[in-house]
Amino acid sequence: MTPVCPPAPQAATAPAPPSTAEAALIRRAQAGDTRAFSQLVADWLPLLYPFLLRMTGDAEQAEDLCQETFIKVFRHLRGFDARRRFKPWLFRIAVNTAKSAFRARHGALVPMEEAFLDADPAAPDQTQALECRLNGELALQALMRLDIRYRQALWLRYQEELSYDEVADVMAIPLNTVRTWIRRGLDALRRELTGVLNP
Amino acid sequence: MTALPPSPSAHPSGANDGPESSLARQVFAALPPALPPSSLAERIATAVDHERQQQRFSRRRLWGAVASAAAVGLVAVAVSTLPGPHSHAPLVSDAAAQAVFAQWDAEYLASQGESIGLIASASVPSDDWLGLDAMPTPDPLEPIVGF
Repeated sequence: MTPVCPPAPQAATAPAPPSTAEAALIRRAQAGDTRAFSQLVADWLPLLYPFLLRMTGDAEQAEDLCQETFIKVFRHLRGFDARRRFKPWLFRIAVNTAKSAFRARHGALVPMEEAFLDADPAAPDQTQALECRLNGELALQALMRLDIRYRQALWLRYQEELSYDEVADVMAIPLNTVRTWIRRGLDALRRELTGVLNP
Repeated sequence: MTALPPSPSAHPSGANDGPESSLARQVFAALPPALPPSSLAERIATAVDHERQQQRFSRRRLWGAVASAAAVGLVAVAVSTLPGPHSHAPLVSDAAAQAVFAQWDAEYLASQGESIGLIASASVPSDDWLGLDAMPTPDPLEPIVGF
């Protein structure tokens, strides 16, 4: 008798639909309700800022990118389908905005990944890093040493809990590439942590 | 210190990524907090408000341009429907009639042996021809009497 494989858990790939409250808030903002849009900013800024900070390694640049991202959200919100999840859409705009900013700053000949790799791992919010626990500092060091592609994929998958499909959509890369980058990112993260914890 | 979880057994589908996800989540949980500055939300609100005003201004300019174009179009249509010399058709027929009449004059004078100077002066279209809608079209086979 052929053994029957148990079905793969769907939690990792099937994203939850948007909540009714989120969809209602987006519809109000789409209708021109300024308070609803302010609420959207208030809700999502605490998630967007850390992402851009860890991707850029520069607090000032992360603030600029947050502002630019929300302006683009405002411009294009009417075209967004409120039945879909807002988070992947928001993060895709953020990723594209960051890419454009890096190309403008470093020129078209320098890939974004190389520009990111030049960032000083200790640069982001140094005062906070000094105050944080030691393992937090080491975790940050290990994360910031990762290739930007792996760092971004890991963040979107494990910090923002996006599905693999959504990560592929946000980063505008094929699904198989997402899988590869996440696997390589985890390997690299393990190596970095091993190196940091056992110098 | 963070104790590392066992080596990840990465499943390409991402469905069974328990061990590897625990490593990543452990790292992210240990990161120092990165709260946005309190002024950032206000700064974004100001920028969005500026964007909103620009959009309104652009919409007003667009509608103004559309209204102007519509008004000009209406005037043009109204003028073109007026009868008389303002409409295109009579102007065209007047010009054509001038040319035809001048050619007949020249041919007639030449057949009568008149001088080149007289023929030239008679064959130049004159402004007097304009607006003479009631003038009968001469028969090219008959000489113009009384010229």
